[in-house]
Order: sequence, then structure tokens, then C-alpha cells
Amino acid sequence: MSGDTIAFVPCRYGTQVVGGAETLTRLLVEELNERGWPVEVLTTCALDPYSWTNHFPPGEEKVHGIRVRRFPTESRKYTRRVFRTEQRILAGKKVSRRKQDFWIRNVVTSRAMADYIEENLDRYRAFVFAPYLFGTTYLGVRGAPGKSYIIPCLHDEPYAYLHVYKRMMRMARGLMFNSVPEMELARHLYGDDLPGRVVGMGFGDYPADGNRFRDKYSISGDFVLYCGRREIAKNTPMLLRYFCNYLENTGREVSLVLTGAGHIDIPFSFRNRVIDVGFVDERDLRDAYSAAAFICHPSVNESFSIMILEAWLARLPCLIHADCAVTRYHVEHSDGGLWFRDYPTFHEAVDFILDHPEVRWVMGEKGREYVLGKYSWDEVVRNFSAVLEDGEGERE
Amino acid sequence: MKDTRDGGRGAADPARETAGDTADNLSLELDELDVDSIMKDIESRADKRRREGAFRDLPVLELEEERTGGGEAEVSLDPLHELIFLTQMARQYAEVTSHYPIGARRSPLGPFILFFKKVIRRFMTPYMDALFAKQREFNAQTLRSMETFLEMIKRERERSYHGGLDRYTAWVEMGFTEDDGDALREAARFFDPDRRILNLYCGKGDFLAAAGEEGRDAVGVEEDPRLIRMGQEENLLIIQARPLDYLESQPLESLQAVFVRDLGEREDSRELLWAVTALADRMERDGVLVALNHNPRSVLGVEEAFTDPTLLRLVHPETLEGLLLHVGFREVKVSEAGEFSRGEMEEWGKKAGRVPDIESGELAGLLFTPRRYLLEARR
Repeated sequence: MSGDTIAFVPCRYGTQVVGGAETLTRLLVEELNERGWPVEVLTTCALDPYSWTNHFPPGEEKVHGIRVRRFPTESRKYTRRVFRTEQRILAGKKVSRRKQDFWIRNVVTSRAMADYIEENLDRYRAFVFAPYLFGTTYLGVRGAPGKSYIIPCLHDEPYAYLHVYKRMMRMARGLMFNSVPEMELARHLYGDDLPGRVVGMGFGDYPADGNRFRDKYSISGDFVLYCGRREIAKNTPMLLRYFCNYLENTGREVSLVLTGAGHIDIPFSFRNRVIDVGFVDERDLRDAYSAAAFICHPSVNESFSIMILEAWLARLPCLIHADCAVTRYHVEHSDGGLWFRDYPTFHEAVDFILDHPEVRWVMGEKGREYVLGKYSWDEVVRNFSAVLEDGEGERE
Repeated sequence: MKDTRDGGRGAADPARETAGDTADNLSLELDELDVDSIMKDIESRADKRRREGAFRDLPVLELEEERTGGGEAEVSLDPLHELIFLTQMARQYAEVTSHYPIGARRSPLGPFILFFKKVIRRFMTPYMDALFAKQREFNAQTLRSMETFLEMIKRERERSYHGGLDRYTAWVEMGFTEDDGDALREAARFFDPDRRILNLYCGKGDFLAAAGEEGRDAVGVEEDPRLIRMGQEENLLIIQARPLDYLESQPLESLQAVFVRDLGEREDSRELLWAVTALADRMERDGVLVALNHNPRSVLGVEEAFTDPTLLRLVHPETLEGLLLHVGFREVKVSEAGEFSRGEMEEWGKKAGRVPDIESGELAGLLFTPRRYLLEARR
């Protein structure tokens, strides 16, 4: 007999966890739970996305009323062989299927969790894995192919071209994409007949007080906001470089405020204008949206970009990288911001936004209309349900 | 959602040309915004200026070197920002370990050197581990102290933030204002129609409007620009100034008619003494001061008055009378104003569960004493 419960399987889970796929999964699970769907979370004990050490104790706990089962991760064996394979992948060189399989088994796995899934297949209606990149998803899908769904959070990156992922994606019953460009990329890489549709995440209005953020973190004057992890893959160092050059070239009194986890080396002489407030809670983040002049999201590897959509709700325009298909799609379809492709366009776009407060207000308003119109929870849950039904129909 | 952004903070520097110059004529209508055309302008301008060599794009470290000349930069940092930065830094480096990657690139001896290094590391590891364990423990404790300290500061700041609710303006903007129209008109009638009334602490100008309805000429003084804007939208004459500064700037014995609402009820008690003393000095002989205050003898009036949390205290008419006589006013009269209507009385009665005997009962007398008193003082 098959159970009704839907198990979500993100590689990390919890309110302190920073990361787009993880946040999206948590909010989707909470929304479904609120609507009466039987849901459960199977995840690892990890918190830190760099060390993947076991932070949470293994076993069961409740997070916002949802049952969460945690399993320990295997310590990552970052051997020379794994390192070499990864270097070849990142360089776009050919890697044999055997080596790919060996490599992915060393990218965050939990044997205990994979065993639990295999042993408890009948207790669950479906397993929804997120994101595509990790061993937890790979081993999980292999253990429960007939009930597997993936929220891939796919980017156009060297890993996405590996055969192991193509096999995994095609093995799943359905894929839940976050945006149209992500779905197009997946179908381009893994085949046009890939099952699935755009599900994404819902957004609702929220109260915000920009002055509260300014008061709490001693921030005055116009500022550009960056939210999220600070890493090369997110182009944070590039933003820092462009912004420091912008300050040097213009002498303008504008600041860059960074929120989120991870370390970034801010040159000492710019530390009065580049302000790192670290990880902030949800309320502070929303207040920051309300206080900022615009949000800058320089990453080119996005499958959804929650930050931009949330910021639009506070009527905050955005500046994004022209080479990111997903954020560009959002901006082109909403008129909620501008884009840049190099330093000169960054410089001119920042000047334009700062010099035209009335236009940035209209852009923010357009962005807000776009989010409220396209990403309501009703629509998201309807699409989620449709992917499950499509997958189950195929199974029968 | 309440948005508190100040859209005007990013005011343009007129000396600087921007790509947006071509978009200056953009309408604010949502449908007319064309991001594609703005981007075309931005890109063509960026190309033009790139060809002119207008942009410098240096790596961050080079930029830093150029700014500081290799020396130490003089930057004034906010202590909170510095603490957050240092805590992040400490978090990054707290987890120290004796295991570090080793390598040897020199050929052909590289593999031998590497082997030798590995042997040394293997022998040293037990001794190093003991030391590093202590260091890790120390780092963890230090980090915890820094995090606790940071959390305490942030929590304190969060708690001390009033969101402007400690200001009368915020409550006016939210619509929590009293309907004193009748009492204000009554107050206006105390003044001779050919005298110009000075209304101190005029707020958004309720008295100015009432005085106008009664055919009196009045000018207000208010400090808060948001309240002034509201008044100006109603075409009321309001001067932006701190009322007490304005009062002190007036010549001695020059004012003929002054009106103050809620005298002594919102400010520091020292300011009340200062205000009445300044008024006594600035009012001419026979000049009239009228104050409209909340009546502390009206139970329901008091309850109603404190819906405004910026109200600090009620001042008894006898107290105010004594104070005014003490500073030099020669004649003070007090009368009640702002009576409860029959409908209001019945409404309150329903809330209380029974309708008190409105006409003659003692309870009704206590509850429905007029909510305001008017004080007329002559110099």
C-alpha cells in the first residue's frame, strides 16, 4: 500500500539555512502543510554549504510544525582523484561516465538517507528532491525512480552537461522548474520530452519599514543592496570590483550594503562605503528592501532569483547581469529594472537609476505587478499538483 | 505595505551628464515606461564613453593601492559595521586545523620533497593536534563572545526604535486625531475678530481652519514639515519654526492674541514653564491667551484623550490657572467645552452594558463631563 505523504528531500533544511533552493523548498513545504497536504522533510544534518559538516543532530524534529528527519552526511572525501575529476568537469573536458558516477558519490551524500528512502518507499506518495547537483538527489532518485520528482534549480554551468544528470533527470517522474528559461535549458540539455512544468514559488505582500533597517544598522543615504551568498559563482567579487571603481570614478556618496552568508574581502579604504551586515533575518531583509535605492544581482547562474522577486514586492527596482537568462527574462517581462554586461554599462546603469528616483519608483511598481500577477501560491500549488498527477498518470 | 523610502535621496548632480538624460521626459505612467529604450540609451552612451576612455576599471587591490599609496587608509568606520566585519572574519578563521594541503612543484625532486613533507606532517600531527585543539576552543569562545555582544547591540537597537510612533505626526497620519471642531470654533470666538491670532504648536492647522470659519485671521507655527504640508494643502498659513524659538524671537509685549491646544500636555514639564513665562513676557497689555486642554474631570474624556500615546499628561485647570497667575497674567477664566452628544452617551452606555441615567445620574455626571476645558488668560 502506498502512503499519502509527500517527502521533500533538500540537501539542507532549516530556518537558518541560506540558499535559494533550500529557501524555496522550505516555503513550498510550509505552504503545502498550511493547505492541509501531508508533507514531511528528509534531509541531512548539514548547515554550512562549504564544509557540509553535521551541524544538526540526526533524528526527528519539527520545524514550523513540519516533521523533519535528519540523516548524517558522509564526510566528504576530497581526494586527489575527486579534485582532478572536478577540475576536468569545470574545464569542460570529457569525463567518462564511470568517473562521473564516482565523482557525484563524493558530492554531499548520506547513505543513511538513501537507505531510508529505499526501505520506506511505500510510506510515501512521492519524493521531491532539490536541487539537482548533490549526491543526495542522485542517490535518492536512483533509489525511488518511480516516485521521484526534482526541483532542479538548474543553471547553465559545466556540471549540468554531465551524463549522470541527464540520466537522473530522465529517470524522474517529473521536474518542477522555477522559470521558463530554466525549463528551456533543461529540455535543451536533456531532451525535449522531459516531463515537468514551471512550478516556482509563491509570494505574498509583507509589511516593511526601511527606517528601522537604517536605524538598526547605522546606514544613511542612498544605498545599493546585494543579498545572498558571497562567492565567485554568484559574481560577488565582480560586483565589489565594479562598485569600488564606480565610487572611485564618480566620487558619489552612495553605499553598497551586503547581506547574507560567506566572507568577502572588502578593501579597508572602501569599508565606509561597502557595508557588510552579514546574515540578517527575514524581517531585516524586508526592511532592507524598503530602505534601498535598488537591488543588484550580478549572478549569471540563477534558476529563479527569489531575492529579486521579493524585492519587487517592496517596489525596489533591480540591476541584473545581462547574461543571466532567468533574471533577464524576469526583467524583460516586467520592466522592473535594468541590466549590465560590463563595467561601462554597470556605471551608466547605476548613474541612471540613482539620478531618476521617479523612474525607479515606476520600475519597482512594474516589478511588483509582475510578481503579484505571476507568482501567487494558488498558481504554484496548482502546478505542483499537476506535475504529481502527470507523473502518477504516467506510472499507471 | 507602508513604504518608507525617500525617493528623493538620489538627487542628480546637475554637473554630471548621465545616460538618463534622454529619458528625462519619461512619463510616470506605468504603461509608458520602456526599459528597452532606456537600455539602448545606456549602452550607446557606455560605448561612446568607453571609446573616449572615460572608464577606469581596476582590480580591487590595485585600486586600494592607488588610494592609499601603500600606506594606511584613513577611514572613519561605524563601530557596529566594524564589529560585524570582525565577527565575520573571526567566524571564517576560527576553525583552525593542523591538516593543511602540502605540495611540491619542483621537478624532478618534487615527489621526493612531497614524500618527505608528508612524513614530517605524520610525525608532527599528534603534537600539533593537541595545540590546535586548545586554539580551536579558545577561538570558539572568543567568537561566541563577539556574537553575543553583537546580538545584544542589535537587540538593543531594535528595541529602541520607535518607528516614529513617539511623534504626534505618526498618529495624525494614521488618522488618530480628535474631532474637536466645535471646541475649536468656540475657542476662536474668544478672540476679537480684528486681531490676528498666533497659534503655537498648530499641527496640521485644525484651529486655523476653525478660526477661518469664525471669521478670524490666524497664523500657525509648527516644527514638523509633514504636518505643515497637510495644512498647506488646505491653504492654511503656517510658519515652519520651533514654536518656542519663534516665541522668543518676538519683541516683548508684542502679541495680541495667542491660542495653544493641549498646553503642557505633550512636552517636557520644564518646557511648559518656559512657554508660559515667554508668553507672559511677549503678550501686550490686555492681550488674550486661550488654551484648549483635555479635561481631567471627564472620565470618558480622559479615556478618549489617551488613545494618542504621545499625550504625556493632563494638566488640571487649577494648576494651569495658578501657573499663569504666577508668571504674570492678571485674569484667568476657565470654562468647559466639547460636550458629549446624546448619541455618544448612548453608545458608551451600550458598551458599559447599561445606559446610565444621562439626565441626572451621578455616574453620568462623572462620565460625561465635557471632554475639554477652555482657559482664557489676560495679560
